[in-house]
Amino acid sequence: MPNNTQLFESLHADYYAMVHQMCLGFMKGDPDLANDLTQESFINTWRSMDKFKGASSYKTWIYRITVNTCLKYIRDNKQKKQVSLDSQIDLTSASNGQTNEQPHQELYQAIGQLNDLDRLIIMMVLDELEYEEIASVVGIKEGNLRVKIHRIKKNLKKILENE
Amino acid sequence: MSDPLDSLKNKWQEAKSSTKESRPDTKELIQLARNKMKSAVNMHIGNIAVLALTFVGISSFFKYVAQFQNTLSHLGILLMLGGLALRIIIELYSMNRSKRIDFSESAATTQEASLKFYQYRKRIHGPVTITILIAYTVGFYLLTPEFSDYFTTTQVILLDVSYLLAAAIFIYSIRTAIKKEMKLLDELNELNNQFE
Repeated sequence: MPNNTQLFESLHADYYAMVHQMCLGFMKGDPDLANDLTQESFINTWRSMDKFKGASSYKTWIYRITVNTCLKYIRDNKQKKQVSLDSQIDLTSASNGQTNEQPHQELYQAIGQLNDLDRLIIMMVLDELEYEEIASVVGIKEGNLRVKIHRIKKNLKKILENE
Repeated sequence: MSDPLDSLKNKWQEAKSSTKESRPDTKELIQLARNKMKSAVNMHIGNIAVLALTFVGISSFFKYVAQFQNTLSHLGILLMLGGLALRIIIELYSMNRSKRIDFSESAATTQEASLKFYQYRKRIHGPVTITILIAYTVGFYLLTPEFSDYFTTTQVILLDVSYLLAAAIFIYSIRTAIKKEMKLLDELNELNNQFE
């Protein structure tokens, strides 16, 4: 049976891309903030290693930690970051003359217009997580989740049409 | 008609596959996690140690330096030390309670636990802290009559005024902490609405 360090190493290798992508989406495509948040998510994973009881898959478990880390980040930093994050996105496109713009920025900009929880939910949908798993990550009933996803899709459609 | 989400899904997978290359070293990350956990524990222990040392310092002062005789003074000492002891107990309880917020639970459960923690902090910061401060202040001023037996009037006035200054600094720092935590509570309430 692997010890915590070995297990963590394998989780970090297997799920780094998944967590980083989610953090990047949550941070509206800002790579530095996404790196910080990814690091924080894995630090919280390390802290929670002894709490894994096998009731869910490691993937769902790490998703939960990532979602909670993102929500904590947003409530701890909302006041100062809201302004800097929004202005940073504007600056990227304005000062770099579009040439050095982060790849997939359009994708992050669209998702970034949703509220915090909706943003996290739709990212799990985009990552093709089963609805049952998303419901277990968020902690709401599957029926309620379906209603939410339907509403988020409608919002996203509107956002994409306006772009 | 194609689902607009399909195109987003493709872009998402594309973006995700380009991330794999930049994964940082796991061993360094584990070390960082260990250091962070250690410094968080040290910070909590530091806070409690400061309060505990103040308690021991004041107790020793009353026991070995200024042995008060009046009943009024004894009541004052009791109020001051009782207030401090209560504060230490609250800090220990808060530390333990904050540790119970589990990041590997569902977002709604963690959100609820965080909300309850900050609601508890709100109660602590409000009536309880104010009561402790009042008890401590009343306790201090109950010592004044006996102080005047040993010190000159000027010294007693200086002592009383310096206490007021210290209390003002303490109130200001508590007010700043309360404001910060109340903002967090607002954020939590706002986030909570998103779960409905």
